[in-house]
Amino acid sequence: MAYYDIDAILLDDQIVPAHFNTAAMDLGVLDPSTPSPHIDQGTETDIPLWLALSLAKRSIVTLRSPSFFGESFQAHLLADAQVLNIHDKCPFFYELGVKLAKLTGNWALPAVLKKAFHTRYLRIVDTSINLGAADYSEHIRKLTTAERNLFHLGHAAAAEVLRYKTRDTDRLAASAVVTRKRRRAALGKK
Amino acid sequence: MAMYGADALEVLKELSTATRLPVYRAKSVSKAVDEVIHLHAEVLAILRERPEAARNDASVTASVIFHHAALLRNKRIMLAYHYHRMQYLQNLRWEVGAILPPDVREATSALETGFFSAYDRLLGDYMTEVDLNLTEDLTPPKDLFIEVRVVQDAGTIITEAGDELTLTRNSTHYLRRSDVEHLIRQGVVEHIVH
Repeated sequence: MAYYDIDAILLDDQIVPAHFNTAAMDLGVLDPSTPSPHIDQGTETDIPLWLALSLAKRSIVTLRSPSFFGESFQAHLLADAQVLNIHDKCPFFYELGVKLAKLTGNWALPAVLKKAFHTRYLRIVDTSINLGAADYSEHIRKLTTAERNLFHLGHAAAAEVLRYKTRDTDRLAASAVVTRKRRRAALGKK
Repeated sequence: MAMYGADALEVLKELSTATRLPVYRAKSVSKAVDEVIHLHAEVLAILRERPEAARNDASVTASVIFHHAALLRNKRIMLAYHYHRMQYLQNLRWEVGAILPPDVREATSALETGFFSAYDRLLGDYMTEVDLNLTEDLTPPKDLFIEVRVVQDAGTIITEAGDELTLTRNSTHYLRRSDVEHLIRQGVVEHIVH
């Protein structure tokens, strides 16, 4: 259910640069550079997506693209998407890109994002199912939230296949809630 | 001034990254509720005092939208927070049975504990009515009887066949799966596979 989805809520908290077409009463809190409680016409400031959507609908603000959707980063994406740390730019890079493309009418952007994701997808799936028990923190460092979820799904599926092959699925196990508690208790004793 | 909803978002993030149920943040929740009441009052005040401007003056419209959007956002975060915690408690009823593990009990609010017992009663009533223990055989059984080793002393149990059996630590037993499945999930005995 998207309404309760925590990732969807965090996506709505991403910051986008906006240009105020009109003055706005009481919105001064959004602009740290002004001491006034209100915002003047023509102000440029960053606002969270959840507010940006409703303000843009009434043309009170015009949304701008963040720098990581600019020409230069797009060129990087097209050159080699695999080596880029997209998580540092924005943990919800693709989702934010698609939402903004709809609002700003930048139809070239989704195509670039799709191509970049396609390039990265193969590597993500490949590592996730072949890594086994090795440490994966380095592998997921550069991945966005959605890519990380994808990685974890692949990783868990590979582990399940292994469990099936070794016939470990026949064994009934204690609930995860219980085993974690026991591990903590054992650590406490030492 | 911190942004509206910032506190609420913090507790939601804490919940999403935790590996076990974090303590219920009553203070942040009541703060979010206060914010919602305040934001609602702001919206009403503008609409009451300047109904014309709210419609025609874009600067005033912006203020109404801002307070309204912040209100909805706070509401959404709080609903998600409670929804996910309830889901966790529901799952727990199926996983470990009718009694909350002590560390979970400490982390829940009084209302949540109430929810858990109400859910337990509901599930119990339903299972009595259909005369079937639904929490049994969560994974399809392969054998009717299984071998188990007792991990911690657990007193005496009565099996379905009506026999008494004392579970002392490190003893092994060959038992009907339905007699011990819940004990395995609670971690009292462990399943031995050869």
